[in-house]
Amino acid sequence: MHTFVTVALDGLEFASYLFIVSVGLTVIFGVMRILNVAHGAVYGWGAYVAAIVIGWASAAALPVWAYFVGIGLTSVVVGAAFGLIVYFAFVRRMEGQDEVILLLLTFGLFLALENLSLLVFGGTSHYSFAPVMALGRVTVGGTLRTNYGFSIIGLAALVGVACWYFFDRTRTGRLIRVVIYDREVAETLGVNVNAMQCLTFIGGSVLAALGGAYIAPTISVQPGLGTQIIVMAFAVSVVGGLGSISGAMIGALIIGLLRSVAIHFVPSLELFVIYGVMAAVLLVRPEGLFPPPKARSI
Amino acid sequence: MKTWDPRSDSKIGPDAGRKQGLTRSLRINLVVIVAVYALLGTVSMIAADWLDTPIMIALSIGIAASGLMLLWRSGLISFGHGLYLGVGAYSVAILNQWYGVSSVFAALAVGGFLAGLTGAVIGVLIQRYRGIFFAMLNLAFSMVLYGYLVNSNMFGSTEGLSVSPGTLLGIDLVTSEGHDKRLVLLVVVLCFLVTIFVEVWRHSVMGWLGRSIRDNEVRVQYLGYSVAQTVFVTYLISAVATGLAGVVLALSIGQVDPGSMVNWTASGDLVFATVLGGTGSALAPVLGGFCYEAIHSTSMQLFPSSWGLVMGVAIVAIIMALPTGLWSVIRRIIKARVFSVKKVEQ
Amino acid sequence: MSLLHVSEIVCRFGFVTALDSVSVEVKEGEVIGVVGANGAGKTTFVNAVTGHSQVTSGNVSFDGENITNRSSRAICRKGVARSFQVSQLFGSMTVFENLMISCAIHRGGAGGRLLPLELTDTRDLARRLVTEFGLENVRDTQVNVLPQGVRKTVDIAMTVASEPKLVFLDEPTSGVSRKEKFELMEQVVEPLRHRQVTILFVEHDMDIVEKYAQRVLAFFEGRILFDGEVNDALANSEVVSKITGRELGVRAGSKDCGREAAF
Repeated sequence: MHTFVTVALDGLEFASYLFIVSVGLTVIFGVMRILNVAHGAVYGWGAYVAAIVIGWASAAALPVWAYFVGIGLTSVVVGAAFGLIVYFAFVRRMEGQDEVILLLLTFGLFLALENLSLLVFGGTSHYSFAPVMALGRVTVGGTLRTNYGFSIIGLAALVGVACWYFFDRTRTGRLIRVVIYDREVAETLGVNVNAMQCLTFIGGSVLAALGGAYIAPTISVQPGLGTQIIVMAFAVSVVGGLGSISGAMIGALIIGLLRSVAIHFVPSLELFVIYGVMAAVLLVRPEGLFPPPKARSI
Repeated sequence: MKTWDPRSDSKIGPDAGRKQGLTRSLRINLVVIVAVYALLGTVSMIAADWLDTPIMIALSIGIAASGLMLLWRSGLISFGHGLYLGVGAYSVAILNQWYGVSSVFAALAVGGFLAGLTGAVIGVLIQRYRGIFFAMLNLAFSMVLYGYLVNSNMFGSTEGLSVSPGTLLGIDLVTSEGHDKRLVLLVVVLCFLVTIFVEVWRHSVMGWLGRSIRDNEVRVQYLGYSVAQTVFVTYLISAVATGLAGVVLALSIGQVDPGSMVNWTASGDLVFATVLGGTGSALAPVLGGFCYEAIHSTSMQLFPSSWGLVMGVAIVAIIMALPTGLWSVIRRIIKARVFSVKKVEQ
Repeated sequence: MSLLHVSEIVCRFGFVTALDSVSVEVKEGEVIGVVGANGAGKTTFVNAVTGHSQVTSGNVSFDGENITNRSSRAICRKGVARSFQVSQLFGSMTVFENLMISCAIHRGGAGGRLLPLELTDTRDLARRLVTEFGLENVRDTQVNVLPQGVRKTVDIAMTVASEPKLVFLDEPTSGVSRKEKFELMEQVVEPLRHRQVTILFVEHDMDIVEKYAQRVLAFFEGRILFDGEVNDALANSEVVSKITGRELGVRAGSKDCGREAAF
């Protein structure tokens, strides 16, 4: 039923996933000037591992909350592991290089990691609907929705608030913002820029893994997840402004809702709409809708 | 105080250049290119039939990478040239299926022209973008086409369209074993022409400006040149080259589909070949194309699901250890082995 | 008839007014020293006239033509060129290659641009620049490894390549040791004089200004404080108190310092 409610909720749910994945990407760019393509691969890994973990949990007939613990642990472990490896083995060594070179580096890492998951997990689909089933459904505005779907919206809101709190209220978060504004000045002020960067990278990767882990129960986890999501995450980050968290939120909402509208009314325009918006924003306002403030250098 | 010959004070007009169209280094490079392609042409002719398609694919990637290399020299990388690959490839399929035209020359002409047209329009839009934004904007445009193709039944959706064998001046370019050697030779000649063009371009003022843009855009402007114009022309060349590559791909594979040609992953393949080859010579991208195809075919046969992994590892290795690409290795080997006296041109 | 006519230009960036109603008239053949404290507006002035910065209001005309807010490329083609405080060179190339690219601007039209760079015409022009500016020893050296003074010389040589009528030299001797400053100026001013180029150079070293300039433009807080003969400028009390300072005649650290220093 193409009611307003369905379209809106579908849009919100998708926007929530997009936000969780994109906020990590955009913050990593803001802090380190790297557009981390490998982010998409971490999402894929998060999805696969979560699917497997949930499989074990449901086979062992564990209670519902175990699924979510599983998802949470997966995100942290997968995100931290990949974050640390990618950061120390590759990104750190190529510090200060041209942003295009770094883009190519993360692109190579993306390909390697994405296809590694293909080798490790095989080409078959993984299903892990247990958490979705367990949470049940509810009728809203005449349509049947899963509670799991609402939980993702809640999760995204939580992530958003946590990010805001972290960057606005905690010392570490504020220091990271200083690094975003001016890395050199931050260094001269004694900020441990390397630690901040490492933290940002790992934090972002955990969020990518979380996005994948949380979406796993709603889809058939197949090869190619990372490939699909990363271009959308680019679109969201670019629309909102690379480096801006509120931008990621607005970008996710715009793209999520537009996609939902397209899917329900003119399905063939789905991708066209997403990338059309991305192209339009890049053409008209390349810094994005909410670019982080930049000091004018006269 | 230093003085100079007052006779050289006069301003030199535009005719001066025409007295001598080829400088020594250009002449040497062109001779090398001719030699390499003569060898390549011969090898392709006598090679086993099963090598025809891989060779043509390698050449096609080489042609596309040649254009992308010129952009890379200016510090620009596009993650969206699958757009032009698709325009070229689908032009062939459409000529075949809707108009019953199977002439290879027509395919090249139409494919190249349409790719150039698209490139001109997009070129105007992207000529002032740099770095990541340049890469992303190209990506966005190519994904717009991808999204359209995937959802349009008219163009075969995800299945794509099939391409009938090309004809050359009315002669069918297909034998019982597969491709006619004449088609392979034609592709070799096409690639040769592209390489010659790129080499001449590299030595020209425009080519040097392309390199200068990477070093210092502000200075280029302040010398009186237009950076935007230079970027536009370079982009246009890359669009046409990639369009032609798309035509060749369509003819060699016999099938066009959005997933393998227009998706951003296809653009990524082109980027891979370009970076792999390097920027040191017009032959570098062709080397990149052959290496790409070699790695691709080999990993497809030995470990089918590992192609992406191999490619990813190769890119990381090249970027971290050999950012100037494989060509720089070859050049070092040649220089070390061949004793050459570098005469300072006076 | 003035070559360069700057009329009441204002350059505002957000809340900062970098240039406030600046008017200057420059005649052909003049050599003008542009002085002022940091932030006074000297570089903004150069940027504004040469098309790098936006002019908020006012007019700039060169050789009778309005060049206000035109692109730096267009202005260069009209005959106004500038060198940079931080040398802007093509780092990966040699000195000679840098010069050849600068000289290739004279190649006419699209056809000329497709021909190789290293043809006789361009090479001759570049060779001439090498001789004029004393760059023989570093001709084939990559510019990235060159010392500051040489880089500045190359920068100025490149500026001159387009055969401009008027040249802005932005702090030509900055970053160069005291001993080398005069050498550099000699090396650089002579070819410019020979080509009868009108020169405006931004400089902090008053000895250089005294030696090479005929006229001085003194900037202060975005305005022109003084515009006149170099000797008058250096004697002018406002210029002295706000820009150049004066000799106190006391030993540093002595009791009289504070008293003398207070203006």
